[in-house]
Amino acid sequence: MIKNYLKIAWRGLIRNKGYSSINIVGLSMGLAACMLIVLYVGHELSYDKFHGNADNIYQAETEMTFGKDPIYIPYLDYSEGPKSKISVAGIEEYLRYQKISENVLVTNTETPSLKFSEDNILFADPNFFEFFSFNLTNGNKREVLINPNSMVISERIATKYFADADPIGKSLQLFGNMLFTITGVAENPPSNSSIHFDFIMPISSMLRIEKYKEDIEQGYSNFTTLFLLDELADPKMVEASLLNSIGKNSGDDLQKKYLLKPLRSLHLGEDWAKNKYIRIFPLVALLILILALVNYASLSTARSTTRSKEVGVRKVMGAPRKAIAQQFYFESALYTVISFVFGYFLCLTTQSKFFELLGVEVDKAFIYSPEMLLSLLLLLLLTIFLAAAYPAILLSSFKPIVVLQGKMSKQQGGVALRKFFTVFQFSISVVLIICALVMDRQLDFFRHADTGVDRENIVMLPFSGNLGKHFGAFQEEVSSLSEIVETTSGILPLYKGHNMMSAQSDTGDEMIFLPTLTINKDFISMMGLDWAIPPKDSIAQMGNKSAVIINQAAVARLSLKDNPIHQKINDRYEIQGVLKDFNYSSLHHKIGALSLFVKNDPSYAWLEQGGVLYAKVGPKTNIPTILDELKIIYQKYENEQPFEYYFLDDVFDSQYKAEDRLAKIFGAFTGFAILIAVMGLFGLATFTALQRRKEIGIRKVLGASVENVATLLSKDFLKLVLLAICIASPFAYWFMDKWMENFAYKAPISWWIFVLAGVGTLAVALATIGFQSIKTATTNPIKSLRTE
Amino acid sequence: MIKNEQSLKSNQTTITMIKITDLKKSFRTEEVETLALNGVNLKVEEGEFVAIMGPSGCGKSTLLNIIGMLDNPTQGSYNFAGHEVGGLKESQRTQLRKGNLGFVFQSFNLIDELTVFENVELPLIYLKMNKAERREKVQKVLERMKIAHREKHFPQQLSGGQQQRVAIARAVVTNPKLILADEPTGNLDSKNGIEVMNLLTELNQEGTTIVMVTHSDRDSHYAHRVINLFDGQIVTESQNKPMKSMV
Repeated sequence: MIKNYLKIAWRGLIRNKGYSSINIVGLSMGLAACMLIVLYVGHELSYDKFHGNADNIYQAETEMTFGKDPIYIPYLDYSEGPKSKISVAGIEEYLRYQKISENVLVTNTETPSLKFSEDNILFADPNFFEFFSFNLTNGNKREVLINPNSMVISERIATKYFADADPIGKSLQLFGNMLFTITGVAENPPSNSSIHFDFIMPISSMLRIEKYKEDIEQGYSNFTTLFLLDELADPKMVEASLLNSIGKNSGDDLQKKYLLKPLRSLHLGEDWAKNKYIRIFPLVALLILILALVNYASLSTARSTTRSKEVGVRKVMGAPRKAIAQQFYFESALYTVISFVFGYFLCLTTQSKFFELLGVEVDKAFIYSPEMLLSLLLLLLLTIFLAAAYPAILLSSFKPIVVLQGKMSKQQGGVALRKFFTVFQFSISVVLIICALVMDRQLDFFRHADTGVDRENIVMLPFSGNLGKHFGAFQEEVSSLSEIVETTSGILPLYKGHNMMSAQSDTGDEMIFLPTLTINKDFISMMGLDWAIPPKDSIAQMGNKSAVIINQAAVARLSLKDNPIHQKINDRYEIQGVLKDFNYSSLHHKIGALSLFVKNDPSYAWLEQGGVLYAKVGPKTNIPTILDELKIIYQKYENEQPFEYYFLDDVFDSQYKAEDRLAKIFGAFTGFAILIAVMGLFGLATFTALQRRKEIGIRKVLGASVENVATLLSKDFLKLVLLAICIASPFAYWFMDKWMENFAYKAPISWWIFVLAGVGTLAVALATIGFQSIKTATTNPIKSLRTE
Repeated sequence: MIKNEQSLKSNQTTITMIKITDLKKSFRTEEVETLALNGVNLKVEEGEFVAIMGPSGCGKSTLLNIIGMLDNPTQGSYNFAGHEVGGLKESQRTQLRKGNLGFVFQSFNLIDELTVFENVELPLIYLKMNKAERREKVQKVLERMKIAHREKHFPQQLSGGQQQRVAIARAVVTNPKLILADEPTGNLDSKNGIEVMNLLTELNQEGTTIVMVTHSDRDSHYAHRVINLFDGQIVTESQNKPMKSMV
């Protein structure tokens, strides 16, 4: 029986190629989109699950409350880990590691040409590979990090530096002249690990490196510290006893607390449901699946009018309703399985692009993992179940005398429901179009917003203390390049961070964290910052340590007088001038209070810890050439730290990466939704034309023109699309209004966006239906009237 | 099917196949109620060949549908071989219909996606007969209908006459007690029409009861008895002398 069903389904598929391909293409695309999202969400949710102790590992974090604002520091000091293990009940084991924040030059001593700047470098406790479940392909878990000179590298690094040779026992040179002997090779950390490493060295070796040693000895070190808790231990209790045992010594008015974050929550945050993508994506996947399914149901029931005779005959032959329903179920299953196979290929071929768009990396091993294959199988079963249900119920309900005698009324063909489906599909498409347009406007607004800063053509070159010692010479050499218009310096790159200082408000009852920029005197003019109250002395004379400049927001935040010149912050820093507010961080937030310390030290001693050179490039400069020139100068003064540069406007734009991705993905999904809806509409128009052949034949015999008929056929559909636009617009407005709440500075949601979306949709719909309508309208009526 | 056969055998003392008493059927739309059948009384004995005639809209097809258990009467009784059919649920009617009734339609109603062989095989599949038995029966009936050489073809590759022969093969493959034919020659030219009528007569001579709706005087002459329907009522009944097969 099943064979019979599949046979007839297969023949139907081959005979109605147009119909079948619309149906299968639509469903495959929907399924492919769904699969991609299943993979993405599955990957996000699987982070760090592969560790054997995953559920009992917690990362310690310090919460410090200062005045009103708590700040969170995800590190403990060097000594706090071991102390906790001894004195806190419930902690079975600890692990500390520190990732080096700057790039480090690594050299293969045997082949010095193999020299690269690397950034995945960790110092860790020797139990790293026992604590976690990263696999070693070479070396003993317990022993690889015992010796202070030992080093474990990842497989990709082993290949990079040693090709096919066995790296065990060989050495790599780091931090100038330190040699580390490779004792183990680890499998590359999987893409769903929140800990990434290429080089791991024992913590003990840090004590041999001056700059790390100092921090550790003075108790200012920052180590990511994880605890393995007893299965029965209550993390809340452990948090409390941590405070009692290691939190005592900080005597100042900081309120300190320790928090334990489950390892499994590190990637998505404690409340993963709040993560934007993880929340939106399954919804989008479901939406696209529904679109594809609605499309399928709509097309299959439209075709039902041509299948009704078969149903009638089968029933007369003695088929019970169940058997008919079963038959159509199998038929849908066949279509779904075919679509699924196509969809899977589509998914596999597009996954790398999709993940690139999302800015994530997903291992092949994960994509083909049994868990994911099982999820996809579930998706297949769900799709079969949903795709088949409605057509099977509808088609099996046909009464044989009605269908065999051609008395099938339109209602029985599910016309009303198909109308609903069409409206539904187009509503979703229109919502997506409007959202995509609004997002695009907002991003455009960000990129071109006047933030009070001249962002054009400014390149930032960060440098370390090595170069800082010769900063004057370096700057001079850069300034002498003909393409460079102006230079200045600061401690941190703009938009990439700032320091904080604690400040007491003028009323004295509140402590606030006041963001701080430390800059050279030319910074203000070069960035085009405007004064609200200019300083009395020229800026050049302001270089003394107690002078400060603040912005207008700081005047308000610190409850200062309207003209606060010569007022003091913390009884120490005398205000010299007030700048108009400018955006020094992203436009997500309102401009906050800011203080600027202006340096005017010709020896540039303040840059000896490292800093940033800001260089303004002339407008018509060849960028690659000038970057090469800058690199050459940089390398004269610095041979350890690799050359890095950022363009100020790129850095500014990159603050909206999340929105940019969301917009791109929305764009892709919108395309999908429209394509599916259009294919569905095309299919429906075809069938309607077929159904109304006779009516149209009669109309033409009675004198209707081609335009009359084409209008008649198109009008009904266009009405539905128009209705969809009306339904969709308020929803879209609501969604976007909500989304805009994320930003302090917004582009207006203007009326023309809605008009554009509406007109665009109508045009696409008209083009889709028009072809069919004209084809039907130009058919010779004799043809359509003669066939029964 | 076996169950049905047994139940029919137990009723073989009565040789009445169809007994219809005061049958009424009305169709209701929102505003109008149309009485399609208004008090029809009809008896058909086993082995009879009955033709139902009458102008368009007189209720012929409605009557045939009710006899064929595709539709339920509004009022009155319909007894098929000892079973009261009026008031049965659709699934029960399907059960009773299976294997006992064969249908032949004016427009053949073959399934386009199935081959000749598969179309004929269809009722046997719903009777859950095994494959070997099905093959044997289908081949036999196809040979009998002189269409066996076309068994792998699809309906649209056949002429109208051939299609109707396939449809008849499908109707008789289960050895039904009763064949219901709704204008079986309506879509055929006269040569093919006569061929089809000869086939039906042959089947009738072998013992199958036939009830046929027709417009054609020529066709009605093949029947033993002609019933004339007008406005939902039987107006005349006439006995024919059985004709010999015409060639």
